[in-house]
Amino acid sequence: MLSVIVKRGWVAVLLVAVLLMAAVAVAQPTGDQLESFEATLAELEESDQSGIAAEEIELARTWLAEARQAQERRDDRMVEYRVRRVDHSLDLIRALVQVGNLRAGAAVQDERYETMTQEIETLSSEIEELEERKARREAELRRVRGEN
Amino acid sequence: MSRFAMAMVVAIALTGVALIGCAPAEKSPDLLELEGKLQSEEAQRIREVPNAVRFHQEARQYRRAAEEARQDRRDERSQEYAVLGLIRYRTALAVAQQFEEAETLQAANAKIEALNPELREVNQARNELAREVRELDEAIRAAVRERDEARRRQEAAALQERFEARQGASGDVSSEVLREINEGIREAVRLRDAGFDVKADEYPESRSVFQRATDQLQAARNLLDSEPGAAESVRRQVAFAVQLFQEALDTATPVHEETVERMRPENRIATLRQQARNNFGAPFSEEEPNGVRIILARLFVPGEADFRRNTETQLRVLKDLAEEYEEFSIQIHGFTQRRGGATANLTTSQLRAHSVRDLLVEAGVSPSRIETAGMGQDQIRYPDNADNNDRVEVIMRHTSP
Repeated sequence: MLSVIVKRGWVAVLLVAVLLMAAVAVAQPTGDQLESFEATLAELEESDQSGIAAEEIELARTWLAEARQAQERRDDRMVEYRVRRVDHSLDLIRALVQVGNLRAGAAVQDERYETMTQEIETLSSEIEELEERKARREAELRRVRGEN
Repeated sequence: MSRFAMAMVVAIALTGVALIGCAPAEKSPDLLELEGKLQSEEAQRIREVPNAVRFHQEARQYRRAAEEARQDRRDERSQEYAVLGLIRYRTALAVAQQFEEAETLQAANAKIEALNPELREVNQARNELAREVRELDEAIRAAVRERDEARRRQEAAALQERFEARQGASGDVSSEVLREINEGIREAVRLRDAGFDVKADEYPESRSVFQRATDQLQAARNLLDSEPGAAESVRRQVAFAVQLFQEALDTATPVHEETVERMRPENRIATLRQQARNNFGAPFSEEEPNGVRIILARLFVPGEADFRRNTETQLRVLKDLAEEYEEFSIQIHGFTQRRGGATANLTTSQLRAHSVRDLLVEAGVSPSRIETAGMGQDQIRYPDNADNNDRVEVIMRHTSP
């Protein structure tokens, strides 16, 4: 009888240990996930075009902070909600930053096109000037050679 | 009856309360907003953009889930799904915007690509003309030198001839004195011509003495012409002119020899190479046939044709060399690193070469000496330091090999 109780006690201890390990295993990925979100957010914030997504970045930061607080309170449901919001927000921020990059790229190219057009105009007027100069030089050479 | 009626009223009231208590809550503002957005014209447009469809569908799924949760009176979950749906909808919108912006960028790239050949063509035409003008300048200088030399000798011969004719006609002066005067004048003319040969009339060291000698000789001739009796005085003047011409010749000859030596193409090329090495460092100056190649690495802001800060010294030295070695032609080749597109980089490299050309022209270097070319991103000189490739290479070559 005693041996049965001892056996069952060990089983209970083992069960508790497995459950604890499982809990830690579940909690760990969420912690890692939050770290990873934090890093991604910081990276996106540093990009040149992060201004376009300023509001979304701010919101994602708030939700990240709420997720951490919920994690401390062990409010798993709230953690899940906030983690999913941040996850979706990162997609949105990435998309917005890309919009900014493309827009800036197009603006640079437009500016470059303007510069090229101006450069062609400058070169064309320089060609006209050089043609005139060439004609003057040819006349001068004929004159000087004629005097020899 | 009245009891029955009362019981009925109570029953109806209880049923109402129960019904109200079981009915789903009103839709949250987020859910209403999501529904509004999904029904808008904007949503129709998003659905047609390939990459945005996925996010749009997710937004719709979240709306359904939010509505179902509301019906099940799980209000918190309904609210959460509505928020997630709104985020997904905004993502779909951003992806659709990406599509539009990508098309705008593509159009801007196409415009540049179409303009690139024209820019290259115009630049080549300009370079060709500049070369022709430079050759004409050279031909004119040679023709003028030839003409002036011929004219000077012609004038000198005419003067001599005239003078001798006058002397032949004069019978007032003793033939011995006249012979001496004539010999003196011939010597003076010889020395004067020798002086012209060594540019005694041009060098600051001999110019004034040479001019005095010329005036002295002219005065002697005038005096002999107007007062044939003053032969002794003429003889002294001629002797002084000879002395002055000799002095000018002696002064000018070493200066001229030194200048000729210094200006010999091979010496000028060697001096330029040395100066380039001293100023830019050996790794940034390479020998070229009849000249030197100067590499101005890391000169530009990446992707731009604007000079970096702290490049003024390099550019000033380049200007000084271009001004000092005026018989050298100047080719400016622009380059970029590999960052960005090949088409844009080709343009940037061309504009970089033009920036340097403009700088030299502003400093007074003749545009006809300068040619430019954009080499784009393909000729990487510094594989380990990308920014160093934002450079120009300036090739200065002696024009008379």
